[in-house]
Amino acid sequence: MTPGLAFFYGGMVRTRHILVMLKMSFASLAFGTVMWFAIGYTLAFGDDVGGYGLIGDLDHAFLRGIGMNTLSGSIPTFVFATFQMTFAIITVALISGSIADRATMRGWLVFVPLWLLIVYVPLAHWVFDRDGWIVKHLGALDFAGGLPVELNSGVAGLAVALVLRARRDFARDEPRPKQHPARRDRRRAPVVRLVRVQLRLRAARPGHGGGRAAQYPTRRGGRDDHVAARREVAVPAR
Amino acid sequence: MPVTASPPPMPPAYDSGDTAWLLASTAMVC
Repeated sequence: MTPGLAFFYGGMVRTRHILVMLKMSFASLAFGTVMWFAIGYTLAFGDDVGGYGLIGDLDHAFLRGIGMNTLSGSIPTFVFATFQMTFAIITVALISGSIADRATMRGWLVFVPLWLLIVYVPLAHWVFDRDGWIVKHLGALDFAGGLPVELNSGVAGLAVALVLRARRDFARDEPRPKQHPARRDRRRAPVVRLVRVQLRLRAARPGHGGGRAAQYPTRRGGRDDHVAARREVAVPAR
Repeated sequence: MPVTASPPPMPPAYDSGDTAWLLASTAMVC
């Protein structure tokens, strides 16, 4: 999904910004992966500190103490950690869309690790970990990541957009990728492409929610993954 | 009269189906 997102966002910005737009998503992949396995996983899914459901401990930093036979539920922890990693990556990559055309790579490379650590990881612990306070006290079952992924990246995007403001030459019409300035019908091409890319991104959605249910293998006395997968397929508007 | 307590829940065992499902999900989301 993240490379798809890179081309999705890259296709919407001005020609001269397409490379930085692509790089932002791919940098999220690289930095998110390292961050996640270094300390992200243990802070989000390690044993709860103090029992408040706010943050995990550092016992599993760099996946220490996790072997081939370590299980999370009925799934090897390596697989589970990798699955969770994809959400950290896509969430921070989503933010890049709201600062298109007016952020530098240098700023982005500082932002990604800091935001993952300060914002995403605690929220993931609250919502995705069994000991998180939202799960424990509010009883939330967030299969698709509505709070830590969608709402989180949306609010973060709004915040950085408010900080960076609109670009100075907002109203000027510049050519977008693959659009020759001489084309008269250039307004139509992006819409067709956007729909196509959207469909491709939506096709990955069942994985989004269905896999998450594996975290709750015994809740409600049965496996919820098929229910969650069906719900994801049945609600394509999200 | 003896009190019959329900046995403690067993820790879930490895399930290749669940693992394959999660791997497929990971491939889709990544």
